[in-house]
Amino acid sequence: MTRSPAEAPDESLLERFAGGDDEAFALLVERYQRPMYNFVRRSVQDPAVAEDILQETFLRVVQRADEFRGQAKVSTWMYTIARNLCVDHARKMVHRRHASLDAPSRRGDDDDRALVDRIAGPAPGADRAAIGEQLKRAVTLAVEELPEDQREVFLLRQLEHLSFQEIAQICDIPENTAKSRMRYALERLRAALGEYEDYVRELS
Amino acid sequence: MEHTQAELLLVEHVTGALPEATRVALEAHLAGCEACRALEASLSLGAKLAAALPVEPPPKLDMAALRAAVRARAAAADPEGPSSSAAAMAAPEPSGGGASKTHGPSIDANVRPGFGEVFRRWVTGPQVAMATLTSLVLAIGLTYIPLANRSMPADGDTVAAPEAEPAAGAPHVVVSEDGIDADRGSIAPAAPAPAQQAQAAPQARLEEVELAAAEEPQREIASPHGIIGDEPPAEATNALPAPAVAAIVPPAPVPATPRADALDAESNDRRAAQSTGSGRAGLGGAPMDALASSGGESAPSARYAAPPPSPPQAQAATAQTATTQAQTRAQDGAGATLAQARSLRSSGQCGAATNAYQRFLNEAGTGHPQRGQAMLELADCLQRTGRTGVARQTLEQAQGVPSVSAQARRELERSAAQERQAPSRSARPSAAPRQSEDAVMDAYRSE
Repeated sequence: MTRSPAEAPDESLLERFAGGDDEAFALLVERYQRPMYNFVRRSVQDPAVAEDILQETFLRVVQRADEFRGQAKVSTWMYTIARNLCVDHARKMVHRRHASLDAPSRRGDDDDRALVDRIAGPAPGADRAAIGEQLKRAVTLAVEELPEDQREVFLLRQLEHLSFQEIAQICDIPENTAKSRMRYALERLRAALGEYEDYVRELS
Repeated sequence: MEHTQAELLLVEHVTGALPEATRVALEAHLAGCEACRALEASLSLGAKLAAALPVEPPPKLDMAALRAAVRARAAAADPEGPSSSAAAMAAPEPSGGGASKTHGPSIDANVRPGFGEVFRRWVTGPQVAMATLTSLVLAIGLTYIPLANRSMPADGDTVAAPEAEPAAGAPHVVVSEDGIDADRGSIAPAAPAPAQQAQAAPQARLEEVELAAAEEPQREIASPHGIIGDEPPAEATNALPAPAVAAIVPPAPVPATPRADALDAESNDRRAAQSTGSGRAGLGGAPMDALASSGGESAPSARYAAPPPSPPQAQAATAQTATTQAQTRAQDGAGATLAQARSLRSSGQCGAATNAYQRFLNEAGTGHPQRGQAMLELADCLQRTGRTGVARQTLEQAQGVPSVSAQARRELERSAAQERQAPSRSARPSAAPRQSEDAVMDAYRSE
């Protein structure tokens, strides 16, 4: 039974594009660009910067293909590259601090209300679709306000569905530390999105 | 299952990462643990809220640049391969959407440089240049500093000569039956005739140095401090040129004065007598004024040079060479001082010559063949500067040197006769500042 090229394992694609097969690399990009972009996008919060980092990530995958030793999954290696680029970007930010929930937002828009005010509960009488859209914006804001160490663990688990072992490898932390950070991230989100608890319970 | 472990498993449980077998064990723990149930409810609600996080579509990447990078990398890794670097650098493919963005680093920058390029960059780097410069400086220093030390003026030798003299002179000084200092015999006891001929060269060189020093007194005196006086400071005279410096003075032929001619004749006679074992010949009746510099010595002597090792005597000569060289170094310094003293004396600077003679007597020790002659010349200088008392003491000491004993006795008698005829002469004050007579005598009485 032969696999289609789209089903080829990551390691096989890596080996092929290392030999000059750009089609294999295109398959790898197609496979990972969506989850990786969302991870980067939620990490740096700026779409343009996220796009640059995503491009640079794949470029480094090409340049450093020889450095991959097979000690981890290809996806773990690629996310490590992306995460390091995000960390580098964060270090370049002059005023970079985690805003508390009652501090003014550091977003560039005109909305300088505190986070608890911006993540307002569903308006009375609003329909479910509208509440759902409000929740998406609220969750996005709440995730942005997570501490960086908790946010990266949360994103890798929530968006990429990586195991805690892989997350620990990418973030270079013990596995239980990754689990603890995930727990604190979930508790923060629940606290920030308490107004939507009823809505969520109704959905489940 | 412990509570702490259950809390960690709950995180996996609410995010769907818990294996089935572990999930069963966790649910068993939850059934009996109220706190864990509360935590599970909280985390589960947080996870459901987090699930509302929207997923955005990815941007259109610059796939042409990425594909080109893949080909360029393959071409760089295998230059002989089918995909050449030119192909890798081909124009990018149309991106289609037109929304692709060209990113910072160019494709050229993405190509890894080859080993040659990396090596060239490393070699031309500033750190390599500094390391090379440092190594060069060290190499030059380590090469030339020892050479410079070796060719330094022999002040050190001159200073060290009195210390080396007892070891070098005492065991080897042998007074022959005819009273001539025969230390040369101990240095080259049985040198064959060819060896003695070969030794004439270094001896002749030394004598040339002495002659040159005698003939160019002003240059030597003026060289260290620019002082030409009867009695330069001790440090100035100590710093006067040593043999190494004097050796570079060319032996310019200078017409010999009648006085020098007489001296040369006497010296040649004396050395001829010494070489044949009759040491007292040639000195009889010579007045003090005729005792000019004997720097014109040209007779071969074994005391300054080691014999070249002949095959039968190679080992013995090698053993003696070290001793000979040590003695030669010590005596070279004394010889230079004597040449300087004679030079000063011949130029009429008796005060400075006195100091130089005293230095020579201190440096040369009792074994130097010129010691007696130097004492006579010193006495002459002392008499010229009016220090007749010290001159008399010097002559009395010279009587103890067999080679000049008779002449010293005659000079004493002549000096006494002169004093009787002109008793006021001894009281004539010297115009030049001078050391006390006691100090002058103590300088070489201590030997």
